[in-house]
Amino acid sequence: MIKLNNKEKILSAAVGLILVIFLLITFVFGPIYEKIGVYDQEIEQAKMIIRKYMAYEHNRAEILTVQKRIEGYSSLKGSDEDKAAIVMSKVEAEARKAKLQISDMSPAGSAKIKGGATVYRMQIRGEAQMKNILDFMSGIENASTLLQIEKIALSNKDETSGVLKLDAIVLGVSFS
Amino acid sequence: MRAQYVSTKDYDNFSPGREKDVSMSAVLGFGYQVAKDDIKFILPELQIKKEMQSNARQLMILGVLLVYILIMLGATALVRLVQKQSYAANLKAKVEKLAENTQELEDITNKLKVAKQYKEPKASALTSLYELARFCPEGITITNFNWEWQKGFSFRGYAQQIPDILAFTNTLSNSEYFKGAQNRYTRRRKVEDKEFVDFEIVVK
Repeated sequence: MIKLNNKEKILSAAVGLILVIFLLITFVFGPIYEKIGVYDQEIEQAKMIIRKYMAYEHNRAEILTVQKRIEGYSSLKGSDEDKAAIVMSKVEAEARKAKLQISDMSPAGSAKIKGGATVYRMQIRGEAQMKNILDFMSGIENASTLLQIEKIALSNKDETSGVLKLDAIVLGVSFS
Repeated sequence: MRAQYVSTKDYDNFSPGREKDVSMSAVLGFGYQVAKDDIKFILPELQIKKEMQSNARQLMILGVLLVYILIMLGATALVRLVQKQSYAANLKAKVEKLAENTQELEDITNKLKVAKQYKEPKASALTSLYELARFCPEGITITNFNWEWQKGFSFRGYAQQIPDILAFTNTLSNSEYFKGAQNRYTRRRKVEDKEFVDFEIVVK
């Protein structure tokens, strides 16, 4: 066995101590604090969710009241084709109610949006007096199904008749 | 100095008459440090061994203390970990329980959020037309109206004089609803001796 002098002994003891501390931090304290950090994050998330759920519970009556008002918005049911057909028939019904002369009407695709909803677009072209167009727009915005004018272009058909040409994209929102 | 026998009685009554009778060495003796270990009875090898044993014992105490501190730290960390684990599990269970009751409310709220963005007054073409009609003066005629959801709108028309158009643009841009309205162009045209100015206004 090699005999060490005092300085070497102190040096080797210091190195050994540092090594032990390093090993302890790496393999014992490090993983423990890492795991504690993970649990802290989980706890924070859980607290946030609980706060959100408590707020929902607090406003339960109010939410259920509002839900009754928008119950019709969930009326689009069935396959994508069925939903698109329902939207088209609703738009057509509103156009006819407002005495809008439809020259062309066709589906313009669908897309998923935030909140798990899907929008179905309908393109509609037609002609009418300003009053009828306003009636049509009002009918769309107040429909029992969630319909919305996404794009609309109005222009004079000619300078004398007062008839306007309408080119619009109407969308219907489905929640199911 | 001369030594002199002094009896107890004489000592009590002794008073030095001359400086010669006083011993200074006795006084100085008080000032000197007491000599220690002047004479050592232990061998130097034994002395070193003793010191080595003492140092080893101190090192041992230090090591034990260090190990004790590390164990305490480890134990504290472990206890904390277990506490956090248990608290997280409790909260998770509570979340699951609350989710069962409030899932329906969350779904309704999500629907409402989606519906709200489509039903906002700003998201309505009808509201834009209504507001435009409210601000439109008699001298202005609107011929085209293009509106797109969340992208603003533009309209074209004509007036008899440029100041009418500029005043209309100013009125719109100063209003709350049409903030940022800008006149994109003005162009003069003549129709049967009458002069008109075409314009386009954009609102974003």
